[in-house]
Amino acid sequence: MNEELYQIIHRAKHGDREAFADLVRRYKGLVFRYAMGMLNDRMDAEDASQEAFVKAFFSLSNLDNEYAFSSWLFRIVSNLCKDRLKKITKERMLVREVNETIVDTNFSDPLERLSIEEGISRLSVEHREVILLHDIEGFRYEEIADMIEVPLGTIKSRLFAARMALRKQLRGEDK
Amino acid sequence: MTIHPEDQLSAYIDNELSEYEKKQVENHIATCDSCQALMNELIAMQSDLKQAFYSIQEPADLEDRVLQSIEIEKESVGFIKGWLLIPFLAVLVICIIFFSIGGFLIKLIHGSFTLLTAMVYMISHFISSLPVFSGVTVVLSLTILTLSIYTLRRMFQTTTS
Ligand SMILES: [Zn+2]
Repeated sequence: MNEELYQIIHRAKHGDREAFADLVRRYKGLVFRYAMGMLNDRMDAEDASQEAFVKAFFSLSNLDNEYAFSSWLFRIVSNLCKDRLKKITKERMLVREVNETIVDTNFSDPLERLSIEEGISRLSVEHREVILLHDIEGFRYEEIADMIEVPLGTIKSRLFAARMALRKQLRGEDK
Repeated sequence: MTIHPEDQLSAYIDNELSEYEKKQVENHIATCDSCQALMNELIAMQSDLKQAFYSIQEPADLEDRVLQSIEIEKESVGFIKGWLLIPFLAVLVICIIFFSIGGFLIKLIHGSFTLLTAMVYMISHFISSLPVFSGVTVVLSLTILTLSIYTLRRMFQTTTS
């Protein structure tokens, strides 16, 4: 992290609204892409990103270390996305209870070739999370382990499993 | 049969292995075509993934929306603080009412209890008493009953006046 960014985070932490807007400008791409990967819906991803930054603004004074800003921010984003996914799953289950004949849009045709985004969207939440945090957001294993509170070894094996699962999806093999 | 260190391959391409582990993987790849192929596939997939996600455009006005939302939330927090006074006052009023009628409630409960004991006493005597004493017990019970009704009524009057 460069000195300039450190200063911006520091000023935002002490209530500087302009500095915070600058942070949103710098991080919105990363945050939005992560939310898109997790939620696979533009509207949901926009809402989740906005909510995450608002939440970050109001709890920024609790950030102990300016250097940990991006992990701290992604912890917020990650939790918000997971909450949304839980809500969506619950709603879908309710809909399914009401209407048993509903067509499962996630059902994969073995002959269909998937785009990589579709492949990601069919992975489990845990697998999606590690792939996005590592490959898209560029966090190291140790940072991810810290962020989602699982052992380092688990990150290593989970990321491998996630990649194998994605490969399988992209090849159009059975789930 | 050789053991393919497939799970190590993923960490290898991420440069998350120790020097020793790295060397082991490199030695294996040099002689194993299937692991070499898998590794190349994983690298290609990672690069496709990055490309696909980096082409996603974020909303241009996100920072404006965030700032607006912060503004609205700040106002609503101020609004809530201002209106917090109302539930506080309501609780205070309820407390005052409770304390002022509390004495009356205790008297009411006590009065009803006296009446109840009198009635139980009377009924038990109607059932169990011999005909000789029944007249006496009926009169006695009725006296107690009227007495309790009278005291209860007086209590009502004193509290309402
Ligand atoms: Zn091998």
